[in-house]
Parts: sequence; structure tokens; C-alpha cells
Amino acid sequence: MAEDDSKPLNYISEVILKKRKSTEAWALRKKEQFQQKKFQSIRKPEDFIHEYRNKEVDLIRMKRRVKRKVPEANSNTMIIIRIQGKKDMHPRTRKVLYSLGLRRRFSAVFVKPSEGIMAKLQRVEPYVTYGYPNLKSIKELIYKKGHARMEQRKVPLTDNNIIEQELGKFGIVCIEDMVHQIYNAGPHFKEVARFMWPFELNKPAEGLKGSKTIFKEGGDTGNREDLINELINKMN
Amino acid sequence: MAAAARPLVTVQALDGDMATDASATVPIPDVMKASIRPDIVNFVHSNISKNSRQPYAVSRRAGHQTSAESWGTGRAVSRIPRVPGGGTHRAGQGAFGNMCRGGRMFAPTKIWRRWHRKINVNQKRYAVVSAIAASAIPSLVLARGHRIESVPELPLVVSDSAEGVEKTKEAIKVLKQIGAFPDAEKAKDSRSIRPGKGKMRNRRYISRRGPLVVYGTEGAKAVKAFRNVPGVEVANVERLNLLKLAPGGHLGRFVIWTKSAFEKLDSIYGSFDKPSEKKKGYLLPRSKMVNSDLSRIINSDEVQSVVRPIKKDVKRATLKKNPLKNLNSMLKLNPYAKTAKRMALLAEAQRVKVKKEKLDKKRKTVSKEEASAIKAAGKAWYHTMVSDSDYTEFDNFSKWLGVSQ
Repeated sequence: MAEDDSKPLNYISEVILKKRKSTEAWALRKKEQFQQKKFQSIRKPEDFIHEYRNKEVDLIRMKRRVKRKVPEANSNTMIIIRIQGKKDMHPRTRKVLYSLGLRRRFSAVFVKPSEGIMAKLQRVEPYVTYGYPNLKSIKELIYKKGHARMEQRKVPLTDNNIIEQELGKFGIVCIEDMVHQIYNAGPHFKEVARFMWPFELNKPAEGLKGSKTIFKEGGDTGNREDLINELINKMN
Repeated sequence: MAAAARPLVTVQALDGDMATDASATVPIPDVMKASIRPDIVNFVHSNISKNSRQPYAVSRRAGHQTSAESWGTGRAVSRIPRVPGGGTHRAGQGAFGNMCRGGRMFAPTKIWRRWHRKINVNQKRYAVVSAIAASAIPSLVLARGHRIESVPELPLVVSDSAEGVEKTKEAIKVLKQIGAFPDAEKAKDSRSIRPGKGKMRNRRYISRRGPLVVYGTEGAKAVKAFRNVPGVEVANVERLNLLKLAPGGHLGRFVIWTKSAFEKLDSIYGSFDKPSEKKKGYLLPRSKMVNSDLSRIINSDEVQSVVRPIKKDVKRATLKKNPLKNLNSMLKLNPYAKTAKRMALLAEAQRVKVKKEKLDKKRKTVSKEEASAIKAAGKAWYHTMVSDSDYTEFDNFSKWLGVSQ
């Protein structure tokens, strides 16, 4: 019996097959979502009434909250993450969020806690959470999600030359210098924080309940102190 | 179409002409460079040919010359008017209706139709000018079917001695000299019987068209000489007829111009910027674009020399990799990471080693004397257990219970 030439079998690598499978699953889910969304495109008058009342209530609560004592911070550096807020915010609240640089949900910025910053945080407390990041969190965030703001454009930090061009006059020539300034709240903290585009974090698989209650009372918002690092780990 | 026109045209000499060293030439008139509009020519030709129609219609009385009357109902026949009387097959037949034999037609035609058409003067002139321009282009004349292979030049201009020809025999000789006779022969050979009813309406034969001879002198004798040659038609340059320049509405008639006729074209039709002398205020029509070949204009040297060169470098967004997982990206940002990683690995190895030494020290084997001591202690303990378990004696049992009775 003649023997056939032995040839290696045609195969597709496992990675491609996995990718294909997940892509198909994603497409199906997307299609389902689209169908649901199409059905719910009509908004009823109750939705508008509900929305406007939420805005009024938000303003009233903000005015009451402002009368309380301004909270204090126990760290040199603080990170603020916006976790909520869409149509249920009063425009004044949204303006405060914009002034902090939090234009999107799950965006984050580093700040040096001062009285002005803490007063702003008091105003937008139901929509943000903040805490004291450690060196690991700061380093991983800047390395992985760091983007520079150059001429109103978002440029990823892939090279130290980008940093040297912009911050060289302050003696900051590499990404480690940036981490140093942020962690220690150095003399050029403001320039570095302004140089960075707000971080765009991922939605955590778990860890957020959608609640507007303060973290100490079992909710999501407000000061988490050192426990913010766990949340950052999930969202990075 | 300016490329198809030539600045000078040679006047073809005939027999009997005085021999000269240089051939006579005439400049080509501007009318030969006008834009060619087949749509206008077709439209104007259709309307002009309607103006020679004569009214016709069916007779007013056709189908009504009877006193037919309907029989009404009750006779098991339709209610159509029926011919009265008896004795012939005609009696009782249907009449008047358009579906009856011998009845009248539906909506009988009338002589007061709209037979003729008004044509704008400017439109008619545009059509004539287009037809003249087309007759100067050999490809269009060939496409129309004329035999011009042996013609020396188009537009074809002959000397004025052709206007003095008196005999048809001499006219045919002239046509042969300039190479136009094959076209006339084609027309003659194509004579055939007309298909359709025109045969019995005084239109029995049809044939092709041949050359058109255009003369410039009134009362020229050539008119009678040429007009009876089959296929040849004659026209005065001041009264050019569109039905002869573009028969059937198709451009490209083979025209033979005499010299005097050719020279008059400029004064009759004017040019693009000078009005005509015979037609008041008439200027030749001009197209919107001199050259409508856009790709040729774009690719010309004049245009290509001033445009910006092609951008060949494609700017792509920077791809950001995760430095926490991709070591190369990490080293690009933080070269010290390699050293830190190595030191961490070494420290880990060192810690593992120290721990192993401590464990080995604790697991060292004991000496023989110590082993014996351990064994004896074990044995003594065993004997104690055996003696204590003997509780058949009541005293021992009480001792265990710890009660005093």
C-alpha cells in the first residue's frame, strides 16, 4: 500500500478561535441591546417630570450640604473619581464637576487637597468618590492610562520626550518624575496634574452599587480614604 | 471641434482653368468651427418638414349616408341602428357605429388639425450652422454613409468655372475630376421601390442622397446642369435649406462648395465676435466650455506644474501599549525598571535560600544516645498506660472516680 506524504494538519491558533468566539458573543449582545434601545426610544411625559424634579432636589440638597462643615483631608495627594451623574444633576452641579476636570463617568484626576477643592467636593459629593492613593496605584495609573494634554489634544504617554518637551523647564524629564511629584505633592504638582488628561477608567465588574450614599454609611460616594486603592485596582 | 478645422482650404482646379504656380487657397470661415448640436438639428428638421404638409381627413359624410334606426328591445338582437328595407343582405345590417361594417370611424379626423409648426429664427439658424460645421468633418460625413474616399479635401471647394458648366455631360465630368462621382453613383444604384402604401400615393421610388452642390452666383447655369444627375442636389449659398444640409435630421452631408459660395459664408453668417452682414445682429453660437475634456485639462502640464505634490507620508495615531505588561514599553519609559526587577528577583532567591537553610537545620538527625533515651521514655509511658487500665480491682476504680464512699 502506497503511503501518502505526511503533511502537517491545518490549524488555527487557539487565540484566534477564542477571539472569534468572543467577537460573536459580543455582536449578539450588541444586537440585542440595539433592539431593546430601539423599542425604548419614545420618552413619556413622566420621564421629563421625573428628570426635572431630580434636578430641583439635587440643587436643594446641595444648598443644604454646603451649610455643613467642610470636610478635611489627611493626605498630601488625593484622587477623585466620578462614578455617577447623567440627567439627574442640576446644571450647577455639573459645572462644578467640569471645573474639576471630570467630564465623563469613571474619569479620574489627581488633586492636592485644599480648602477650595474640599468645598467643591462637598458640592458634588453624591457623584464622586475620592481617597488617598498609594504609590502603587499612582504609578500604575500613570503608566497605563496616562495621556498628555497638548494643544487640546490627547496624546498617549509612550515616550519620555513628550514629557521633556512640555515639563523640562520644571526639571521633570521622565514619567518617574511625574509619579514623584504626584505622590509627594511636590512643588510642581499643579503643572504635572494639569499636563495630564483626566484618566478614563473602566467600569468595575463589582465594587459599585449605584448608590449615592456615603461610603462610610455603606454607599459608594464620598471619602474612601485608603480603600480607594482597591477601587482603582478594579478600574484600571 | 476646433482641432478638426483647418485654417486654409485649397480650391480644386478643373479642366480649362488657367494654370498657376501656387494653388489658390481661401481661409476657412468661422461658421465651420461652430458647435455641433445634433439635438437641435433633429428637432428643427422635424418641425420644418411638417410645414409642407397638406390637410387631409375622412369625409364628413362617411358612414352616415343611411337612415338606419335601432329596432329597440324585444327582438333578441343588440340595439345598434339597423339599415331599413328588405330584399337585400344590406337590410337589417348594423350601421353608424365604428364597429360596424360601413360605419363611421371613431372620432372622425378633421382638416383643422395643427399641421404646421412655428420655429424660432435663432433655433433654425443654429441648426443650419451646425449642419454646415458638420459637413466639414470627414468622420461625420463618412458616418452618414457618403463615399468620399477619393475626395482630396473636406470641405471641398472647387473653382468658379464649375458654375459655368452648361451640359450635364460636363457636370458629370466635373464630379469625376474632384472624386465626388462615386457618391452620386451610390445614390443612383440605391434606387428601389418604396415599402408601404406610398407606392400608390405618387412616392413609388426611394434612393440615397448624394453630393450637394452649393453655388454663389445667382442665375448660374450649373443649376440645370447638375440637378438632373441622380443623387445630386443644388442650392444657393444664401438660401441653404436644412432639409438638404441634414437630410432626415442626420448631420454630415457631403457638400461641394464653389469658390464664390465659400467666400460668401463669412458675410452671411458672421463670426464669433463680428455680427453677420446679412442676418441682422446674428452671432455664431459659442459653447460654454472651449474644451470640455476635464481630465485632459487637469493632467496638462500647465495645471500639474502648479499643484501641490502628493502627500506620501501617512500620519497614524500612536499605538499605546500597556507598560505594566509589555516590558519594552516599560523600559522605554523607565529604564531603571530592569535593574529594579533584577534586584527583586535576586532578593527573592536570597530569601528562599535562607528559609531552606533554617528548615534543614531543624531537620538534622539525632544521635544514637538521644534515640535510645527517646525510646526508653516511650516504653515507660506504655507500661504506665497498661497498669492504669487494669480496673478489675475496685480500689483502682474508686481512685479514678475520685469519690470517697
